[in-house]
Amino acid sequence: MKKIAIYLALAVLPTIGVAKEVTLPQDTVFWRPSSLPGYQLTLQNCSTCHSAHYAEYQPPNSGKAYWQGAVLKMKNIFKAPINENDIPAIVEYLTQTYGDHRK
Amino acid sequence: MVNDNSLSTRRRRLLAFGLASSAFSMLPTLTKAAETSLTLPFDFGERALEAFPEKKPMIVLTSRPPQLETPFSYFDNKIITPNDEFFVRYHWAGIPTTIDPLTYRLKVGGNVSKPLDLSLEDLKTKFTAKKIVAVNQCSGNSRGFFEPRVNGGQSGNGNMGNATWVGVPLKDILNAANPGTDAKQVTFDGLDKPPLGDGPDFVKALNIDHALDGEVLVAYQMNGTDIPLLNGYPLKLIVPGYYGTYWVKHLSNINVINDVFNGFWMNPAYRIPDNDCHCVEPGKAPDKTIPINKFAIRSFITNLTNASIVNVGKPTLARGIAFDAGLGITRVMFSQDGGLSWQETKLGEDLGRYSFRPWSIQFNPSHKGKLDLRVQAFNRAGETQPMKATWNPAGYMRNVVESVVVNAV
Repeated sequence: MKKIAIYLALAVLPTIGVAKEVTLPQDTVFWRPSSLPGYQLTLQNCSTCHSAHYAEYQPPNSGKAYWQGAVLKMKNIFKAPINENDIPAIVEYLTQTYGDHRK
Repeated sequence: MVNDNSLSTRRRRLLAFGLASSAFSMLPTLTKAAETSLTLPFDFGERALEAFPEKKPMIVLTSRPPQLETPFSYFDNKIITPNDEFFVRYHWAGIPTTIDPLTYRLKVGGNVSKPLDLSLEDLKTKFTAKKIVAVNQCSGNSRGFFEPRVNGGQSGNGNMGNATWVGVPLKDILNAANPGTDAKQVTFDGLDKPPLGDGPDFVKALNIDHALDGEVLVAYQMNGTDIPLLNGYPLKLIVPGYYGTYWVKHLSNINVINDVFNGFWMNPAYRIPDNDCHCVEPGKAPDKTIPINKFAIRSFITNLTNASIVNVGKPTLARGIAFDAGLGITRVMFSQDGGLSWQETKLGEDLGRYSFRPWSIQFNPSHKGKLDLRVQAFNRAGETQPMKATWNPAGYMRNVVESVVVNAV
C-alpha cells in the first residue's frame, strides 16, 4: 500500500501547477494627443506592437529624418502592416509631437 | 495601471523598500522614490518606477515590451545584483508569459550528427553543472549620455548586473550533438517573437570556436534560484564578457550552421565601427562595421551622487564597482580633482574575472565647493577607460571615465 501511495504521489507531481506565469502591467505612457490626422493613424498602426515610450523618450535632436526612418523601418523591416499612404501623416505627427517639439 | 488601488500599493511597497535599503546604503536617492519616479540626468530623462513581476520598482524604459533599468542606487554596497533588481531588455512584445518547465524543450540541430531534444531535467541530470559569476550589460547601456545624443533606448547607467549563473557548458551540449567539421557558427533562438508574425525573429550567432570555448553556458539558475521570467526563464545563454545582446532568453533552439548568420539582429543591428576605438567622429557613419562583441572596461562610484555633500578634511568613503571583458581588473584609481591627481583604491572581494570587482577608498575632501570625483579602472592587459567619451552612431559601448560632482562644505 505504501508503495502504491508513493507511486501515486509521484504520478501526480508533474500535473501540479508548476508552470511559471506572469501578468504584465498595462501601458502607463500614452501617445501624446494631437489634432493632427497622424495621431489616430499612430494609435492604429503603432500601438499593436509597442508602447508609446519608444517615441516619448527620444532626444530633442530627433527630427523628421529620424521619424521617417523609424516608420520605414517598422514597415519594411519589422513588417508592420502600415498603409503606404498613411506614412506621411504618421511621420508628420511624430515630428510635430516628439523630439524638439515635445512639450 | 492594472487596477485602481495599485498606485497606493505601489507607494507602500516603494516606501518599504526605501526604508529597507537605507539601512545598508549611504545613498539618499531612493528614499524619496516613494514618488514612483526619478529623473536621469539628460534631456527627457524623467522616468516612472514600477514593479513588474518578480521585480522591485525599476525604471520603465518601455512597458511593452518590458524594458526595465536598475535604478543606480541599487548597485551600492553589493557585488551580486539580486534577481529582482536585474535589468530587463526585450526586442519584441511577443514574450512568453506562461512557461511550463515540464514540457519545455531545448532543441539542438543543423549541422550535427545527433540532433538533441532536451528537457530541463535532461540538462540538470545528464550534464555536469558549472557555476560562473558574470556581468551582463546591455550594448546600449548609458546611451542617454551620448553627446550628441543618438536615437534608441535612452538608458542611464543601470542596464547592467552581476549574477551567479549555474548551467551546462554549451560546449558539452554541442559535443553531445557532434557538430560537423565544417561548422562555422551557432545560432540561438528563444521563445520571444514579433507580435505580428513576420518581423525578424530575435536570433543571435556566435562563431563555432567561441561556442565551444567552455565558457559559454546554458544557464538554468540565477543567484541560486530559477531565472526570473523577464530575464529568460527557464534557460538563458550566458556569454561571459560579451554584451547582453548575445544572452538569449527563453533559449529554445540551437542551430549549427556552415556560414555566417546574417539575420537582422546580427546585421545591420548591433554593429560597431571596425576600428580600435569602435568609434567615429560624431555624426559620421563608419566605413566598415563588425558585430558588437566584448565589453569595454568600466568603473563606477556607487555611494556618492551629484546630490551628495561631504565635509572638507573629514575622511570620506568612496566605493563602487569595476568590470571588464574578463581579463580581470587589476587597479582602480580615484581622483577628487577631475583627473589631475590620482590615488589607488583598495580592491575588494574577487568573485572571478567576469564579475563586478568592488573597490573602495577613504579620501579627505580637499577644499570647499564642487569636487569632481572620478574613477578609472585598469585590467591585466593595461587597458583602461578614456577620459573623453567616444561616439558611435548606435550609442553602444560607452566606457568614459565617469564624473560625480559632490559638494564639499
